[in-house]
Amino acid sequence: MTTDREPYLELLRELTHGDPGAYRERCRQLDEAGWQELGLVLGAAFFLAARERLGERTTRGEVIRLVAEVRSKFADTTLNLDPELAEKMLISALTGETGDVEDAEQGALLETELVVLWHLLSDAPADKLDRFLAEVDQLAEEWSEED
Amino acid sequence: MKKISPGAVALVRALLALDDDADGPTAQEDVPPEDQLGVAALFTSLFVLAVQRQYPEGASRGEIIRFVAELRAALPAGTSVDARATEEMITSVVDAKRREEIPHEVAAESVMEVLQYLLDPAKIGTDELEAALARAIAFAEEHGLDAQLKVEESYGSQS
Repeated sequence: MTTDREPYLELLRELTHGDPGAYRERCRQLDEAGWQELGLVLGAAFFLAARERLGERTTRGEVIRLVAEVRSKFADTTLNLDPELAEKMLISALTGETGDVEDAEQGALLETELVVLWHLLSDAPADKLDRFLAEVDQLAEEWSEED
Repeated sequence: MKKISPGAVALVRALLALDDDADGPTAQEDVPPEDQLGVAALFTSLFVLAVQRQYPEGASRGEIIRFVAELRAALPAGTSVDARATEEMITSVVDAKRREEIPHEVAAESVMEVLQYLLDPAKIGTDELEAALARAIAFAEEHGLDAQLKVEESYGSQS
């Protein structure tokens, strides 16, 4: 991967595959360089990961349970994701309808994407993660060309 | 000790689907103002006792998150309840040190949904629901009508 999205894709790898030192260093570098592509890359990753985990016939109950599973992993921390927002984001990724999340605060969207991605990707084997990040890069490229 | 009025009990019975008396009260407005505090105290007592029964040994925050998720997943399409407010309401019973301020209407919705989930007569049977109501009446009368707050204070001290 040699695109200008590479730092964000690597950030995702470091976030989900437990290299906190590299993740912190990446964040420091991005603090200096700017985080312009973060929303695009995270959005593409969230979209693909949600569709991979939840099929077209997913019920509302399954979405609610998935979000609860994510939130319960952080139950003993100060992180308290908005479950209704996370559920709407997952449903939006599945349906392509963005109306329910358009008014959400950007910081909450990014935080939710990061945390849910951490949950969805953290047990993916390295080769699968490589393929996934390549797909994310491609989708982000397509989305940026559409804009 | 002040008795919970028959009117308050009748409304709570109707809302818990224990009675289908067409002439009985079916909404808060159907009972006189002097009975309404009794209704609130009775619902609070039902809630406290139902949560304690669900979690006699206490519960972790993760367990409560998953419980509320199951409750929400079981709701009919088009209905919802505030997940975090409901978690906080349950936590305030399980963990007396914690109490978040929750708007009254949101709290009332959460209490009702938790009660309908835990005290669903189709799941626990009418006899058990009658017994739960009897325990709640005794509990509410013991803790006094002028408060809901007294009931809450005994299980969830203000932080």
